[in-house]
Amino acid sequence: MKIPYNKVHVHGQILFAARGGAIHTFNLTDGSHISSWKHPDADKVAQSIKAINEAKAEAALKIEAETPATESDGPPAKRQKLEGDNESTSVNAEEASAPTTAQDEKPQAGHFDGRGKKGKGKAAKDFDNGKTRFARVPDRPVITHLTSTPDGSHVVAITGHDKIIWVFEHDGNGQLKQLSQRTMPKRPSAVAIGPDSQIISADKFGDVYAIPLIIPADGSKSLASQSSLPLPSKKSFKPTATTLTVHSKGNRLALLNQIKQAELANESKDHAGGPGFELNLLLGHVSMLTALVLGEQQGRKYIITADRDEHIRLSRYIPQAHIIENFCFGHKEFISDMVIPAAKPEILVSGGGDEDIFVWDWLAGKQLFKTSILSLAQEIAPETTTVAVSGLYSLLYPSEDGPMTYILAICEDIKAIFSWKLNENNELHCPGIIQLPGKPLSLTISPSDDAPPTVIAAIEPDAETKAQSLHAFRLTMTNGRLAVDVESCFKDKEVEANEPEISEEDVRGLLYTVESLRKVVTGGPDEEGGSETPQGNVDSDVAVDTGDGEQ
Amino acid sequence: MGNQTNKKERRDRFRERRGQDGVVLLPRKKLYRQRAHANPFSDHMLEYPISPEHMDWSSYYPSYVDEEAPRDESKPPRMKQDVEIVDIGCGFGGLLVGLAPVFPDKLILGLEIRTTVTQFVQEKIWALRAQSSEKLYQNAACIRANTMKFLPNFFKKSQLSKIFICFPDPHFKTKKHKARIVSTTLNSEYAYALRPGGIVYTITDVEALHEWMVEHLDAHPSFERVSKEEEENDECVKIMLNETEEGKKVERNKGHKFVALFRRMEDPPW
Repeated sequence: MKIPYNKVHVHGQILFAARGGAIHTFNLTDGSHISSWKHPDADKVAQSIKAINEAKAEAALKIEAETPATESDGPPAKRQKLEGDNESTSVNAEEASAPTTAQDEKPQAGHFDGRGKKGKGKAAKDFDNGKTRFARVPDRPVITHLTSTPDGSHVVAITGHDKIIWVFEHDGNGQLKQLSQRTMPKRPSAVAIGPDSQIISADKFGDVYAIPLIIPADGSKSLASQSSLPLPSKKSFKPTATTLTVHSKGNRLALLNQIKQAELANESKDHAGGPGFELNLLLGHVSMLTALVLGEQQGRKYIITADRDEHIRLSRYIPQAHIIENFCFGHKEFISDMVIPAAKPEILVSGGGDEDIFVWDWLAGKQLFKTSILSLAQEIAPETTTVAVSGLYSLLYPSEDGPMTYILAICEDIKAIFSWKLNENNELHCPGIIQLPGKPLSLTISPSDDAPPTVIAAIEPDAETKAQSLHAFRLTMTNGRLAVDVESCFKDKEVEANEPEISEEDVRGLLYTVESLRKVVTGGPDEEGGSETPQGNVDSDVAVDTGDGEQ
Repeated sequence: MGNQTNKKERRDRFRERRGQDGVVLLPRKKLYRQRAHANPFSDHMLEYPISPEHMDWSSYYPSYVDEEAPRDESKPPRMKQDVEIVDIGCGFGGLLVGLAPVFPDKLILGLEIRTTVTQFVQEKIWALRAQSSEKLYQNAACIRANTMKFLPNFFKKSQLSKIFICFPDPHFKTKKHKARIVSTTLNSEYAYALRPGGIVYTITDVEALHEWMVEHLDAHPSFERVSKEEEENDECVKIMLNETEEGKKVERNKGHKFVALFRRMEDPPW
């Protein structure tokens, strides 16, 4: 199969649709294809995957004749190592390396130097042993986030596998010009563009950074730098233990080795500085961040972040992002997306692994309403027991009494769009279900002033329906519920034909990542504790000493 | 594993024994030892309230339950007062036991991530309460929690007046620095839970960690360092230096102890 479109974003009459590592732009009015941008790795990876598969097939034939296949399994696919690593691992990859600028090379060289070296060493060893006959399958570039500035003049995209934030200039007619690429310290998991031209990016390590949309030519710093929390300083290594703190024989030995190592490291003197571009740490959770939105009330701006540990945190915006105003408590499972409806800036709608969608007064941290999305999902797929919301969107539907706010939601693996009307009491009513010819991956809404809005859905087409991966339709309303009016299509035959083949499994691994956020209940009775009262646990089963260590 | 099972059995036997003859025995530390490190990023099987309102404190501070308040079955019992002093990573609870008689009118809570160690402290406090004729130690308790992830689930904004961070895991490796209990981003959460004027107490025997904590708390706009003078006059500092289990160990080994106090400042206007 071909990789389906996985992210869509609309601005004006231009649709930006990401498909794997490529962004295609379309004209919304006539569905024509305008332009394409491809991640520099895209072709390289496709070719090397092809070559590896061929080599594997060949070897599998050979091994079949000789011994039971053991080697053909190869090592498990690992995250792609950055930079120079490519030569040693992806033997079949084209030598054409990504056209990176000096500025972009720097962070990688600095930050990952140690690790990169280690990786290389290991790879080399494996080669010596003749263990790895084939290169590791390199990661396919996938654009995980796609958004534009409110005026549509710039487009920001994130590729997950290499942690890069890409900024493009958009001419307003669908032509993109790449302005910059910046490698973040960790994989970004949510992004928003602030009103002061700051990209606010949340990452999987729990940190939120601000980087300027446009890199100033004169190297001047933005306002965000004033509020930035200090990044861990990189000093030359000095063993932190002393003979006063280390007492056992083994530890003393370790300390001695540490000191020796430090001397060696200081001799080689390869300490590089920061990331090489302005990067301001704003705030952080000790949890994987999953969603980020910017809110504004009474002229004050806020950053709202959500994580895998059920927290929705409200922090002030730059330059006081270190101040936490509030939390919205109520979720019992991970949160995966949040939306603030355009016409109701005081309302936040959130969803994730819970069976409910929550409505909040976010400034007060107060839960206003919740409604079950699971019960809606069960109308489509009756055997469903859990849902993982993969996207939340809001739209305005014109009516005689002024525009009405609707909330749309999609869930992983559920072939439908769910919609609710957000009424004046901030409750979600009139649930509607729009069935889709495939699993939805992303939605975007094209508003129009007096006509009903158009929804563009990126879907993974069903094998039976053979639908297009880009699915667009005008909405209509019956009895307050949203339904499909007119469908339209995009002319992407050419784009489709140029896409390399990809296995279904790979698509699953790349594009269905929300459900995996759910916490898995592991461990046995040894993990209990917590809530027990001193009196209560006298007779109860007692925890053994394992369990709390590293897992 | 064999050893651990033995320890568990011995612990059980000890528990059976101690209730007899009307004499309440303190738990013995050697039966409750646990590996000194826990991965704060792991999910574990933690139990935590959905929000501070959902937290049932009644079993931890039974004598502080507000019996007169009308009972709402959907909510946990109302308490006469909130927890105000918190020891993050309380370990074997030396500081709790030291502080409880000094602040008889404040609720003190120890938070510890290791299950068996938490049980030790809970049983110790239970035994101390039973032994005390003047009804001491009713204001101390310990729960198992991962504060790095779930501190705001337990405490409301500005609920706390003192946070103790005593002899935390130094996490020497640079890669593990995010696991340190004091970090730029976590300090914001401490500032959230502390009321303006509240104090963060830090003590460690690792000089580099001391420097790290000072650097990060100093750099955080919500905190200012408390002067040496004030530090010396604070009775909590003395307890922290001498009553904590680690403090005693460092004393025995003739190590250094580094103390730093930070005051939570008022938030700037917004």
